[in-house]
Amino acid sequence: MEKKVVLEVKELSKHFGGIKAVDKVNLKLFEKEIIAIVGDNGAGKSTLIKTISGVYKKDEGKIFVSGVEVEINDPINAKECGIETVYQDEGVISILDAPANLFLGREPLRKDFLGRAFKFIDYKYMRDETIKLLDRFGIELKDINAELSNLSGGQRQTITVGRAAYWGGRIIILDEPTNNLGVKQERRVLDLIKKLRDEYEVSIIVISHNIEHVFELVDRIIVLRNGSKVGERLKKETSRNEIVSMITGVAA
Amino acid sequence: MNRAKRESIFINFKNLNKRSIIPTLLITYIIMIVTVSLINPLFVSLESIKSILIYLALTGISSIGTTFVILTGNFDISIGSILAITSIVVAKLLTLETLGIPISVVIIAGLLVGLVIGSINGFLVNVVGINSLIATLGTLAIFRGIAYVFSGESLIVYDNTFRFIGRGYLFQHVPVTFIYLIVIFIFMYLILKFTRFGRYVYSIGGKAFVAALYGIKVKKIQFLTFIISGVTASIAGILMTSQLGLGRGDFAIGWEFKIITICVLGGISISGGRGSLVGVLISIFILGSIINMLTLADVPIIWRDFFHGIILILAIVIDRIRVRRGELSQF
Repeated sequence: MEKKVVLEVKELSKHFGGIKAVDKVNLKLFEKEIIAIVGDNGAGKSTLIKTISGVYKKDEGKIFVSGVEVEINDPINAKECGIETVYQDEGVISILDAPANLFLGREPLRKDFLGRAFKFIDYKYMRDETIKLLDRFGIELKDINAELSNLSGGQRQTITVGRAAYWGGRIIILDEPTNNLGVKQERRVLDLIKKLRDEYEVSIIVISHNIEHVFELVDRIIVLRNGSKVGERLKKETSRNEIVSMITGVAA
Repeated sequence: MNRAKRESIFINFKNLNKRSIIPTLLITYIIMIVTVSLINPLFVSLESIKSILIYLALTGISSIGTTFVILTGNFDISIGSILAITSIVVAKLLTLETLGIPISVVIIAGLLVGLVIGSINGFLVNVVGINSLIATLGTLAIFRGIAYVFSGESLIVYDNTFRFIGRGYLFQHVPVTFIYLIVIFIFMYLILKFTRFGRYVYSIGGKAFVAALYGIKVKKIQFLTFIISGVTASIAGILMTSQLGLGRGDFAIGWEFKIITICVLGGISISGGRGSLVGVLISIFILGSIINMLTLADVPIIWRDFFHGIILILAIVIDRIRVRRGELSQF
């Protein structure tokens, strides 16, 4: 059973001055697969995903989406290639409400006279779609027009992750999705990520410190150390101990 | 079920408190008016109301434009200078009698002044990358200086048609400037509330970095807000020239202070992203009425700045409390 490769990164490097933050990293992501990128602080996880998602410009290497080489120079390029990234803490504008965040930068216009002549935004459509989307992920907001700063961290995270799926991202990158969340909310977000893969059929890259969550969620684990890939394991063929020793570089 | 419902009412109420300052403003204004008119019935006389409407219209028009800038988290303190230089340009063009320039052209020229200086502000902030407070402090000084150089003595405007623009009354009692204020308010309110541009102004004030990540052209939008602020200041300048029949280099000194007070009191957060034009409109009325009350109570004009200052500080303290409450509830 040969699975399709949706994202392939070849020999990707990113330097800051003399420091090799990411050094010749190769990785493949198959369709409907969840992989984790793990590593210690400063191992290059964040730099790697920021280079893939266009926040940083790569210095060397190639990126292929569904087999076609792409040039990603900014976050908009990445979105056009179907790569949606959810950054920790930075994903939403917390003084806006959920519909405004879901449709940020892509607000639909009204189809009636007001929309055609004056380009008025269709708030009702935005609200209805937001309610539908949140409903799908089992969230019911008491007030759909509440500022996001009034919601729980888990609800906010659901909106960010849901937005990535809503806009048809084929590849979703999640940076520390369970950071700063309570136990109950962690569980919700983990279930949400699985649901995303099963229902929306997307491929997901997760960056996480939390080995427990990584083992629960993913199919494959990629370990970075000092900017280089030091190993790659299928979850069913490895153990927590092995991964931890790869991260730290100390033999188990 | 029952419990969930109770909770939802509670949360809605809390949100309303935090999100909207409008009910508070409205109630404050009503209480203020009722109290003052009980003490001094002159306050609600036709003449008094007329003078309030005339007084508040010009600062009102200008603060509606500046609201856009403050909502993105920037400042425009050059408005007073834009107003003065507009008045000089308009008065100069009108006093060149030999040329006989049509009034429509003069008005367009006045509006162009706001457009050009607004663009300079927008350029300094978005292209050169200077902090907006500093950039507009610079243009404030530069254009005030130019206004003084070109005005010399005050320029007297004799054109009666032009003088009617800012002095006329509709239905005998409604000042035209007040009508302009309402028209501009409705237009700007619709833009801010119902168009993408309006949404982006709020998004940038909320978190410019995230807005940019989602493809919003942050610099372009910010640039446009400075143009809006400049043009509304020019409108106020044209109207002031018409009302007083004068072009002077020292018009509207200290307006930046008045305008920021109006915006902040109206609930526009100085950290950007929060507030609405409805609040600003009520705030325009509150400040306009306070000035009139001081006049009626024979408080010398030199005390006006004192009261403005107190109101500004109070408004900023309220703004800080609201922002802090917002931040706390994130965790």
